[in-house]
Amino acid sequence: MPDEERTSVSGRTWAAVAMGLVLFAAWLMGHPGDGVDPAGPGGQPAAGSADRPPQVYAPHLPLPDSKPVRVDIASIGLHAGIVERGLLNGAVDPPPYSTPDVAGWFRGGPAPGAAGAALLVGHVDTETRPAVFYGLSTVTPGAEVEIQRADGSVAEFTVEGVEVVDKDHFSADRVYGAGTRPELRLITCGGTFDQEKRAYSANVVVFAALTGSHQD
Amino acid sequence: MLDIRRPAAAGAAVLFLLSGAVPAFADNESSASASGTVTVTPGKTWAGAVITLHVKSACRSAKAKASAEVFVSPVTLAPPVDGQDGLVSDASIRSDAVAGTYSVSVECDGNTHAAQGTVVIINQVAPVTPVKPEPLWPTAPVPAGGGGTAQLAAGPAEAGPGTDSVLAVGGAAAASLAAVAVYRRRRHG
Repeated sequence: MPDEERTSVSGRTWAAVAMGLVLFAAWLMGHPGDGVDPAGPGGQPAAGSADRPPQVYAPHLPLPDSKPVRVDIASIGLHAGIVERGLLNGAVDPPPYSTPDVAGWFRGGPAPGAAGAALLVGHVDTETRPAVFYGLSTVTPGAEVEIQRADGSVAEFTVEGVEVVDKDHFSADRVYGAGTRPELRLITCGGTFDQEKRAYSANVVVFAALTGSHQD
Repeated sequence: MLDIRRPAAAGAAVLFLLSGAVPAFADNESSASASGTVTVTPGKTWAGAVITLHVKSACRSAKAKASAEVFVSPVTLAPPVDGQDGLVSDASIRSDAVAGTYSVSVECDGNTHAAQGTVVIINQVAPVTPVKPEPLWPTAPVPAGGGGTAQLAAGPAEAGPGTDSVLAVGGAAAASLAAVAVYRRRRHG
């Protein structure tokens, strides 16, 4: 079983790599030297929320409250269990390094599918190897993110934007802020690793909106 | 008889002098001098504040009166309800108290200076201990990496922040994915 999965993943991986490179090239051409703070692709003003990526999808009717149990992003071969996490020093505390392959859901916020922004955090790597959200920065707009929930429903999200937010110029509103539209934020680390601080310089944030649901 | 007692008294006085009890003894003009101390908590306070006075052993009676220039009015000290030693009372500092050091004197057993202490009025803004409410929503970046794959990002990122760092992340991710894929292909091929 795991072997089959790996074989299929390597095919997908090549696709993801190629896709990622093409998209980065496209992104660079569209953003001549404007740094990490895109006001919106092509200078398009972000409607409604000035400090967030533009909303591509119309608000979907919120789903009833139900805890998330699993996240799947087929396009990058990400399949992981979800545990509940709280806050530590003002940030959602990712699952411990002893369980690097699970994602953490911020239990103080909405459940994925409910109104508002549900937050999922996960490590990009441990001190020795890639972790659950290692491939997160290669996710592209339009990608499907499925969240399996405790009530047996699956909330379907579609990626609207992927951003690298520098920790030195961190905008909590941009990363965590939300209205009532059901959304999902997937957050991990990125940028460069400071060996002294033992920390990455940025957060990678995937912005996704609820676009559908089905029963498992 | 007298001849015997006087040397003894003189000897006691010498002992006192040697043992460092000089100030209390030297100031001893009369029996009215303070023989005990009143503890003021907090020792430094501000106009309008309430302080606590505690006399440990200076009074034999179960009541004492404490007064100070900066008190709203003299207060009566009584044994604490928890059954501990001494006499206690709260005292209010006048709202128009001027910064400075003021003496507090305690009267008991007919002694107007049975115990003494000081209270310092600093009249700075009351130190507000910031009670940090438990935040309900995150405000800080997520610490989500141990750096195990970071050497891959070290190269291009040194060029500078902004676009380059995005490139570095993307490049690193792509490069490592490629590496993983090659590794897997070799393993399975």
